[in-house]
Amino acid sequence: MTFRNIFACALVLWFALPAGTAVAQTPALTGEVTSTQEGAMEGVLVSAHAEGSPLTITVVSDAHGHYAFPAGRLAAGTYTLTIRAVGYELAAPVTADVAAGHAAAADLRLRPAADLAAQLTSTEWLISMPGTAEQKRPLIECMSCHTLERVARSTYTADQFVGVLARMENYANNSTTQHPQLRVVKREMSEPLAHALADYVATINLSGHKKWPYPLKTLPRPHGRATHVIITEYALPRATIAPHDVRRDAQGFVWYSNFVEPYLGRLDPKTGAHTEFRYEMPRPNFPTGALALEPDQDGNWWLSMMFQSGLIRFDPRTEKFHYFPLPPDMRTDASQQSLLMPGRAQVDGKVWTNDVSTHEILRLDVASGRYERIDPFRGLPKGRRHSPYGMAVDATNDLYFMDFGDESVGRVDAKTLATTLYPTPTPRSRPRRCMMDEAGHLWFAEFAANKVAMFDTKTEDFKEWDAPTPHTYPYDVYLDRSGTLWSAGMSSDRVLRLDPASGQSIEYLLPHQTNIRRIFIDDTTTPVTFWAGNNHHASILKLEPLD
Amino acid sequence: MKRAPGLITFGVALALLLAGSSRALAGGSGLDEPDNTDVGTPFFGIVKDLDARGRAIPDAKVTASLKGGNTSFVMRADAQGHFRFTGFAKDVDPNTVEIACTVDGYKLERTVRRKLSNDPGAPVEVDCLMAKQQAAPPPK
Repeated sequence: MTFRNIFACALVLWFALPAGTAVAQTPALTGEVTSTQEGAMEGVLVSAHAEGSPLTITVVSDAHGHYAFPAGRLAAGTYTLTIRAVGYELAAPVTADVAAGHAAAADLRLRPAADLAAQLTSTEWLISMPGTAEQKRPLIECMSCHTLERVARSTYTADQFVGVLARMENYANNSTTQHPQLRVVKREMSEPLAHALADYVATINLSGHKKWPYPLKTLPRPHGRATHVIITEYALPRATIAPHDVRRDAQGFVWYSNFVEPYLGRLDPKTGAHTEFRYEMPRPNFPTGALALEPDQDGNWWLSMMFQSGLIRFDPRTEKFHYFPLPPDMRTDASQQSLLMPGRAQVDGKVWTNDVSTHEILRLDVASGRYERIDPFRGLPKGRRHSPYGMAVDATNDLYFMDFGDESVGRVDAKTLATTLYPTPTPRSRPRRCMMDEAGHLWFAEFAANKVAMFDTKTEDFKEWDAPTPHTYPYDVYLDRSGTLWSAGMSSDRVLRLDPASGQSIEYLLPHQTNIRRIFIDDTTTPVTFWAGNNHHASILKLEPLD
Repeated sequence: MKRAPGLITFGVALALLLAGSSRALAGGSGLDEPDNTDVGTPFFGIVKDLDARGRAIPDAKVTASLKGGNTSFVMRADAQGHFRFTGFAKDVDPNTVEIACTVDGYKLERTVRRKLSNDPGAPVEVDCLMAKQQAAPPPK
């Protein structure tokens, strides 16, 4: 059954405006951002939102405190303005009336924030919290479902926290605070590890204090080129929608996987039309939602079905789904297909996927619907936390995968199924999502190492680059047409733009709390356009650098 | 006397092996207890240039693979030519683990294996002895 939810009709006004143009024209809305403490303020994000619109547009003030929304980005109407500048808030609510052909003006006066803690990113919490790297390390798992503000504001004692951890272990990976889902098969929890984590959290939360017993540290505001950007947020129609992977097709539609609901989503950025395609749930009593979204070379979309198990293919021409279930002898109550790679299926008719519950790689023969198992960790010590995750393929459909549980890039030969593991130079890197460029370079995020990296599949050599800000935990990377590497993640509300040749980087701050998973770069625009989903806040994000 | 340099090198390599063992044991950060009790025989060694009196060759590619097991590890020796590896499980017979080394301009002449003791799981030293490859004659 296909279910559509199109809510564009009333919104044409906001989407009829040309995008990506007219930056140098008379601005639609300008003003100055000042405070008593700093005078003119650089790097303040100014967001404009009109009542009833799904769009929020954001620009950033320059070195003189000046901000400007380009003509063509704001339709005529009344806008509420909000800001993001850590440590500050608007002194009073501000609205601006924008009229066609005239530059509206609204100066913004800021004052110190009444509640600084409410403004911190998870990255800033991790920087602020005392403790060793080993003590903080388990906290990076929290961000899959919620920010660390929730942890820091909790009042649980260490003993109480053990019970909270035990409860959270029962939630499926594809849970959000808006839509928690219980696992059918519970995870094992180590009591000593849980007590160690609970003991630590009780030292950094509010269980024994009215205020945090450590200073709250903040990151600098954007500066220089990091202010040259326009950010558009497209609000999706339900708070429960959890966009995970985002991909743009050749027609300009932006597609996304919904991590917690049985829909494939499509956004038309030109018109604002949002469409959802519902698929049948083969396992009604299991958690719903899909993680990975990847295209094949015939223009079909493939989804990995998580706890529903198996893979599903969507033909956008017929708008029909085709389900590829796991056979009964491979399917258990813990089966979980989180990743997949159909990118070179036309080579040999095979699509790669994984089973999180067994730490195996699976390969689907599309014609027959049969799966075969590959254990890439044969002969390796049992009890290690191996977990095949991000996937990419080369021209002959050999698989490259990230061992997210550990520290290796793996390769499975498509013909022999022989596995080669390449440990990353940084131990315990937990490589996560990846992409293969045309030169055979495998680019990937080293989640736990706070690095981005490249593996040359021809020379079998690695290169690594530190993320410029600590505790950002990159989730994914994307190399654009100019060789610039982009990255983002769940913790910092920032998008990284890195030149691998020079090591120079820019970090764009985002206007709201933003949990980013798979990212996509649209190489057809100049400059390129960054796309991602906000997994916890039901929006699609477009970031346009202006240089 | 001829063994002395080798013993010193062996001692350095063993120290490196022990110092670096936590790297191979590490991984993950969830609340499931990692179990490192199944880590098998450690291998370590040096990549040497036979044409330079056994001088260490830096940054060689080292491959550890299971005979007939379809699983390999590929790693790099360090700048001093040392490598170490603890990637296979306890029940893997160390005699089924093959170590090979590759360096541009060299061929692997042979490997020299020494087991430190007869105890099960005792470390195995494997040195790769590399010889310079003759340049191919120019085409006629």
